[in-house]
Parts: sequence; structure tokens; C-alpha cells
Amino acid sequence: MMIEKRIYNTIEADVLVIGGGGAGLMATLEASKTATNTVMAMKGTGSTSISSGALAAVGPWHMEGDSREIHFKDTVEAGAYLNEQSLVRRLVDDIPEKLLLLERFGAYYERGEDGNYKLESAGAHRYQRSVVPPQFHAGREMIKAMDGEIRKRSNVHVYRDVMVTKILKEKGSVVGATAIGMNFGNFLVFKAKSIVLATGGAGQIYRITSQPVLNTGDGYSLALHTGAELMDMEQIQFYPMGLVYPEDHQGITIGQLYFSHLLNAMGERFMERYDPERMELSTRDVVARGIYREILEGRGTERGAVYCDMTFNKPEFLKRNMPMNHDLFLNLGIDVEKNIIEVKPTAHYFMAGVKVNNSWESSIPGLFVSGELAAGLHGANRLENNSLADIIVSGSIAGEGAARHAMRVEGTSLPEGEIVEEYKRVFGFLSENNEGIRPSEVKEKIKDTMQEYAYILRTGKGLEEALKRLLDIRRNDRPRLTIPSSSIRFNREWINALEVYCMLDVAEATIRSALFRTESRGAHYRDDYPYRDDTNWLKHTIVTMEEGEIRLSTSLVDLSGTSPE
Amino acid sequence: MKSGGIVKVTVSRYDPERDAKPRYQTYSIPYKENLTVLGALRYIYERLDGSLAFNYECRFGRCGTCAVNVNRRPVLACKTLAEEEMLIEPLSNFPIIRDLVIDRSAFEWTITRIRPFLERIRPPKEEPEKLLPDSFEAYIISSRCVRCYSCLSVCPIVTYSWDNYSGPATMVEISKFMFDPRDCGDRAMTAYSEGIYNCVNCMRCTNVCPHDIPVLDIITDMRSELFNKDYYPLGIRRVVSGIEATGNIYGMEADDRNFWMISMDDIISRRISKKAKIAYYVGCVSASSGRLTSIPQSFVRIMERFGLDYTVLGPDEECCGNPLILSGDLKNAKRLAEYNVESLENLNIEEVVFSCPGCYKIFKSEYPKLLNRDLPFNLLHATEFLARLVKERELNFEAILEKSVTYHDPCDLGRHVGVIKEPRMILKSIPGLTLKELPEKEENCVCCGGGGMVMASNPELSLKLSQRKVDNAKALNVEAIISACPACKLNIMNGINASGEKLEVLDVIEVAFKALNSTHI
Repeated sequence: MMIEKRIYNTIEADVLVIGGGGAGLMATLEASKTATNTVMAMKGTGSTSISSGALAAVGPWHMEGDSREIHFKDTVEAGAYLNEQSLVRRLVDDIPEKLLLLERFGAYYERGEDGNYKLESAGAHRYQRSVVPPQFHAGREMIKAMDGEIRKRSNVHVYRDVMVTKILKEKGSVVGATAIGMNFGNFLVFKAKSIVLATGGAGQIYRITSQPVLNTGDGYSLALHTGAELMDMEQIQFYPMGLVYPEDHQGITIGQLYFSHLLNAMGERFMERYDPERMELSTRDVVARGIYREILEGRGTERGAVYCDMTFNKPEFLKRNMPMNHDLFLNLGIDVEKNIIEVKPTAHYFMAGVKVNNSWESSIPGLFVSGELAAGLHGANRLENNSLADIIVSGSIAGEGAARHAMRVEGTSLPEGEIVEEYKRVFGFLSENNEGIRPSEVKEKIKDTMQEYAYILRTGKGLEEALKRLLDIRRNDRPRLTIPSSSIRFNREWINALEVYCMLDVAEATIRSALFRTESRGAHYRDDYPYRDDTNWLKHTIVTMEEGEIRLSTSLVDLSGTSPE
Repeated sequence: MKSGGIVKVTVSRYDPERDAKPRYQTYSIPYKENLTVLGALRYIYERLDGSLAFNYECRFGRCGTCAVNVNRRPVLACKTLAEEEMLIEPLSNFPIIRDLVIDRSAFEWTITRIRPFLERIRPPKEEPEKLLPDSFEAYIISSRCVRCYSCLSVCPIVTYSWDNYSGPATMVEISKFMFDPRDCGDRAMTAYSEGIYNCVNCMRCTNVCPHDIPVLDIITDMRSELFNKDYYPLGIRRVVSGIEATGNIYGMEADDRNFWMISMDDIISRRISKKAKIAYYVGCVSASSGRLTSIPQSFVRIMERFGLDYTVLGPDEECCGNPLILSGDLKNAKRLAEYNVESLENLNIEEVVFSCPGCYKIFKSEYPKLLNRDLPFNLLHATEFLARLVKERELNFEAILEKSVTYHDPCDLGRHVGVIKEPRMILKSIPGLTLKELPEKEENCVCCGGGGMVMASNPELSLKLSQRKVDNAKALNVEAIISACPACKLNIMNGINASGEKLEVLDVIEVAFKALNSTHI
């Protein structure tokens, strides 16, 4: 099949940023300072804008006794020493200035009555060091600041509602990407000298997740097929408090651990058993496992969850501190000031990601990665409030690197043949035949598999079973994907079909890595290997793709700053 | 609704590349507890019809992408419980991509145009700069917007055209910077050029905001900022200076302003500024406009008929201040509030009755704020007053009015104050009268175009909106449009004249009076 030129537009860019959340916006901002032409392709609003977190930072305003060194240590200890310490160093060093940059763009962080930053405490941070945007629309505050600044720059072009389907390479370097405009079904080809991938996590491979529906791990799959390495794919953080009920809102995070008590079905504050000192404010992996133990050992609720009690807070406290969630619940007929709710851990954050160097560049020349999609910074467990900090630090470093790289590149050409192949793959789904299996059904199968075997407690046997199922889906279901409508306009099943490919890649990489790591570390807990094994496993798991097959290997951890005692 | 029941969902289906126009498709789905609109759509999509196009991302109200019309009202599908029968349609005023998915891209340019970034003259002295949390309260409320654009889909000015007014969401976005104490940009100028004075103050935007942003209060505060900078259209300037000079919106001498009293001097002269239980506050519009005087005249005659102890302020009645608040002149509005309340207090009034919902609303919701105290009298709109009489069986309509009519809810009375049942109750108790409802009624009623000072600042736009109202009424095949607001009556009359239609416009008071007075009309 020849695709005539009119089938697709080629959009030329120096830097192409894929992803429009915080990491993508920041990369775009930084790249557009130097690269003459920056294009941002965004699939949706992303995770940042729905976040209600804060930014951990030790700036000149810090509490007495606190230091960047302690922020560094907190991060690495929480990460169970699986962090790339040079990345952590950049985070703690750069975040105070980057956070001020956002304030210059127009963001506002909450102040105390004295006019200074109101610093909040957060789980497993030794000091109160979290700078908080207006609470509970924190992420959106940051997004609006960056988005506003981007609108000022005429050398930035934003493509909304676009799903990138393939990264194009020529002579070992990235040269562009193909994409589909989800609203009108137009096939797009981006030509770029460097690329920043900032597509966020892959929460949607789980049934219970707090991540938006578009977070299907596109970036992992794109990177893997481009030849980049994925790292620590078994490390997925489960936020302790995800809703189990009402069903339509399953997985959504509710409240904050610092104003919640977790109770089992007997009404015991069970965190006493797992971390009597820090209780609910322990690291997220410990709390999540605590909850899961309670459920496993029969002390959970009928719906297989535990209770989250926020009713002890002063009247109006919740309304003031989580106005949007408070209101959401009221709409659903639940008053969180008076009623306890049922929660269980929800797939929340991917420490897993693409392996990068300390300029957030992958092993493929010209391919940079920022935000949640990059691995290494958070190790085996992300510390609370380090993620909103991560996106603006890694975003700007990756954006800067991509711009520099772009300036060195000259005269690239696009691989026409590959573009034609990709066009055929993408548009091949659009034949109306109802013989096969719907992509949304396949998605459900993947989610159920991951939820059952790759959740909080994993076993070798379970993971083997999961792998078997995933391979079966890949072999038997994926070739039969059929979509009910052939319309090219906002055809959800069409997008689902493309997403199934991504989800299968991420899920398989996760399962294989989890099988590979025969120890328990951070968020990865193997019931058959319940202890941390620093002798054999103080290293990263690495996933690469060779000739369509997933390969596993390991790489050393950067312990330049501190090592386990 | 109980689990086990059935939810009937009718969805608008439309693929612009294949269909000539939208069609409706109905699905029945099982109800389960806490089922949301989004849950219903997902059920249809997953189990019944995979070709359905609808959008959502975050599932808990923060991304704004799932906004749809449910039973003609915009909601976020994810945070709205399903109803037993639902008509689900895409948000209005946007191009449809397919089924329930709209194209928001045009609005992106508007956001860019308002310069949505902090503009400062010089960098802060120190970083982080000291900022007082109190000074950011308004900013934080304005930044709650998630850009779901529900408000844009119900704004009658946007419906007419994006040209005059770029809509409530834009105003909220501008206000974020206007209320940011760090910002030095001329945000008032931006608000002016984005058409803030073309907002009719109808409050539909505020009513549908899923995050309870008080859009209209924000617009009022913004207009006040504009006014203080001397940014306002000529028409507004005329009204404001007229009020300043004479105390009424037309800038007339007090005698001319009270034109309505001339033909009923015999009755009214002994009632002016007397101590009484009830005061009737007439309001500038119906007091002086020849086409409207029958409203106060009818109301006074009804009170006479019942021998009530009432007074009118006559020459002592000054403008209520509503036009000033709408123009942004809060200082003079306060002066008027003080004057009017004092005049009424001097007469030991227990109850003040209004035939103008604008005056009524301002007494009720703005006076306590302006004066920083509660008013010492009960406030009632004439329709509430009459409804009470009907209920207490004091008032019996004996005349037969063979007429089919529709009722237009004035924004100030319906949405602003919540008086929706009373006028209908009065109309329904009149023998012979058939009430046919407009498609957009009660809280969802669309402004006639007479609100927000737009009649003064942009009469052409006012007229266009009233013609739309006339068209809608015409489609119902009625003989008359009934309202309960002199400004609505005036503007709808203008619309009828411009369209050359034969329709009558009446106030509930006039109808009630007719139904009392004669045996047959």
C-alpha cells in the first residue's frame, strides 16, 4: 500500500515532546528556550492536573535542622537503595529553584499568617518540607502556571488529543514519530531531531488504579520498541487508600494519610502492628502491605477492604482541606465528615520506567525521558511529594538536553517504509467485522491478570500463571482485535486496540521483572522471598526487546552518596 | 431508586461524517446503588453498544472532560448520580466530534488571548516573596476551574455568538489574574474587551458549575474593578450618571419618574409615605415607562380591593441600586441602599413587596452585604404575596380567561431568588388559562436579554435574545408570554415588535388583576 502524501501531514519540529502533563509541559518550556521549534503532542490532561499533592523541597526557607542531604537520605532510604543517587542529587538540588520558577509563572503556594511558605509534613520525610499549592487542586495549579507560560511562546505548537503510536529511528537515532489524532482520526507524522517522552505511568494495567484512563503505558512500549531499556519494571507503588466503593470510582485516592485512621473490620487501628511509631504516616509500601495483610488474614470488610476513618477531624476540616473530594462524595450521597469509607491499595505510581543517565537521556541518542516514565529516581518506593517535584526537575533537564541534542543534528530523513507499515497497522483495525474480540474486553483480561498476580503480595507461582495468561492474550486475542464501529471520529475502541499493544508490553515487562527479582524490596514484595537481599539484588532489573522478544538483565545501582549499612 | 430497577438512557448519536443530523437511541440498563451517569455510559459502551462515543479521563471530577448534558442540564458525568430516565446529549455551543464528544479546541485560542500568565512590572524583592494568605482567597476560588466548559454551554450570550462575550469560563480565568495581588497586567481592559459588559447576569453559569465557583459574584467583583478604572460602555455611563443626578435610572425628575401614579391620583395620593404595615416598592422601570405602568397600577388596585394597609414611597423612592451594582458602582449603590432602607424604616414597615425582581433581589441579597446588617422587614415579591393570598383563600379568581400562555421565569426571580412555584400556582388557579411550558424553564430558563444592564450597554444584543425567546414561545402556539418582571416585559415587547409577531406580553400581576376584575375577557 502506498500512502499518498495527503493521508498524513508531516509536522516538523526540532524537539518533539510526547505527553502533556507536568513533565511534558516543563520539558516543552525548557526546550523552547533554545530549540527554535518545539512541538508538544498530548493525549489527554494527564495525571499531574488531577494530583492533590505537594512538592518536597529544601530551599533557603527550610526548617531548622533540615538539609538537602537529609532530603536525599529520606528519598534513598524510602527507595530501599534502589535509587540512582545521582538523579536523587539533582532532584534535591534543583527543586527549590524550579519551584520558584513556577511561582514566577504564576503558581501560588500556600503561605502561613507570617507570609512565608506553609511547610507541611509528609509520610517518611523527617522534616516538614512540603511546599503546597492551593490544596487539593495542587497539580492543576502547577499545570496552569506552565500552560500559561507556554501560550506565551510562539515557537511552541501544541497538538491535543493525539496518541503517538511509534517512534521512528534512522541510523540509530530518533527522527520522529507517528501518531493518530483521536478526535478526527487523522494520521500524523512528526519529524523531530530529538524527543522527550513524558507519557506518565501505566496504572491502567491494573483493575484498581488512581491513574486516568489514558495512562496505558504508551511511553514504556514506545521506548521498548525503539530499543531503549526499561528498568525496575516490578516496582509499582500502591497508594494505601483507594476507593473500593462506589464501583464507578474504584481506585480513586481519597483523603490523605495524615488526617486518616485506618481501621480493620474489628475497628482496630492496625498500623500499630506494622509501624507503631509512624503509624499511617509510614512509607506507602508498608502501609499498603499492612492493609493487604489485614485483608488476607480475614480482618477486612465484606468488600475485601479496610476502613478509612476521617470523622475524628474537626467539623469543616475535610471540607476545607479536600473540597473537591468532599463535594464528590456528597454528590454520591456520602458525607465523609460523618461516615467511614472503605479503602484498599490502588496502583498509583510507577517507579518502574525507562533507564536514563543523569541528563535524563535514554540509551537511544536523542530520546529523552522525564517524569513518571523515567526510572531510577525513586528507587523501589517513591516518597510522598517527591513526584510533583520530580516532574519539574526532570522535565526541565530532559527538555534542555533534548534542545541541545537537536541543535547538533542535521539533515535527517524519515523512514517512509516504516511509516507505511505503521499506517497499515493503525488503520487495519478499522474493518467492520464482528468475529473477533473487543479491545476493551482484552483490556479487562489484562487488568484482571495484573490485579490478581502482580498486586501487593506476589509469588513465583502466581507470576508464572500471569505470564502464561499474558502470553496467551498476546498470541490468541491480540490478533483478533475487532472494533464495533469503523468511524474514524473519536472511536474509543480503536484507541483501545492501540492501547492493548502498549498494556501488554508493560504488563509482560512487569511480570518478567517481578519473577526475576527473587527478593522483596520496596514496593515489590515476594511472599516466597520475603526478605531484602542486598548481597544478590542490590541492582536494577533491566528489560530490553530484541527481535520482538523481551530480554532480562541487571545493572548496577548508583551508590555514590550512601550505601545500606 | 433501588438496586434491581431499570434506568432508561436516551443518548444523542451523531457522526457528522455519516449522519445528516443527530438521532436518539434508547438503552435500558440495570440500576445499582451509587450508579453515576458515567457508570451508565460505560455500561452501555461495554455491554450494549461499543460504537458509542463519550469522553472521560480521571473519573472524579478533576479533568473536566466528561461534561455532558443530562436532561438538558450540564453535569460532570463522573460525579452525578444517574436518574431513572436520562436524556444524555453533548454540551451545547460546541461543535460535535461524535455522539457526546465535543470539540473544545476553538476555546483554546480564547484562553491564549487573555494572556493567562503572571504579568509583573518588576521581579519580587525577595524569593520566596512574603504573601498574605488572605489576599489570595479570591484567587484560589477562581483557580478551582477545571475547564469543563459547562458554563459556556449554557451561557445565552455565547449561544447567540462567541463574538460579543467570550463567556463565563473566560471571565473566571481572567479573574484569577485580576485577583492575584502580584499581577500588574491590565486585566480590567482584557475583561472589557472580552465583553464582560455583555453578560446578562442570568446566573445559569453559576448554577451549573460542578465545582461551585460563584461565577456571577466574580463577574460582579470584576465589573466593580472595571468601573473604578472608568472602563464601561456609554450606555452604562448614561444610566449611572442619571442615577447620580436624580436617583432613578432614567435621569428623570421625580414626578416624571412616577408617571404611573398620574392616572390614579385619587387612590394613590393618600397612600404616599404613610406609616403602614406593607410598603410597595415600585422600582424605576415600571414606575416611569408608559408601556409598563399597568403593572404597578394593577398591583395597587389589587391591594385596594383587599383593603390592605399599605404605602408607597412615591417621590421618596429612589433607584434600588441594582443597575449600579451591575455597572460596578458599589459606592453609590451603598448610598442608595442606606437611603431606601432609612425611608422604609421611618414608616415602621413590616413587609416590603416588590413587583420588580431586580429590586427584590438586591434588597434581599445585596443590601445586607452593603449595609452589613439584616434588614428589619420581611421581603416579598408580588407573586409570592399574591400566592399567599390565594393560598389563604383570600383571593379567588372568578373571571374566566380563555387564553393559552407560557411563563417566562425572570432570571432575578427564578434562579437568583428561587421563586419558581408561586407564579405558576397563581396562573394555574385562574380559570380558563392554559399554561404551556417553554423547553427551558424554571432554573434552566434562558434570559430574555433584559438583564445585566445589556439593554443599556448593547441594546442590539438584548433584542436578539428577546427574539429567541419570542420564537420559542411562538413554537408553543400560545397567545401570550407571561412574566413577572417589568424589564422582561419591556424587552420581550421589543422582541415582538422587531419580529412582527402577534403575541401579548403580560405580567402575572396584570393577569391576576384581570382575572379578578371582569367576568370574561
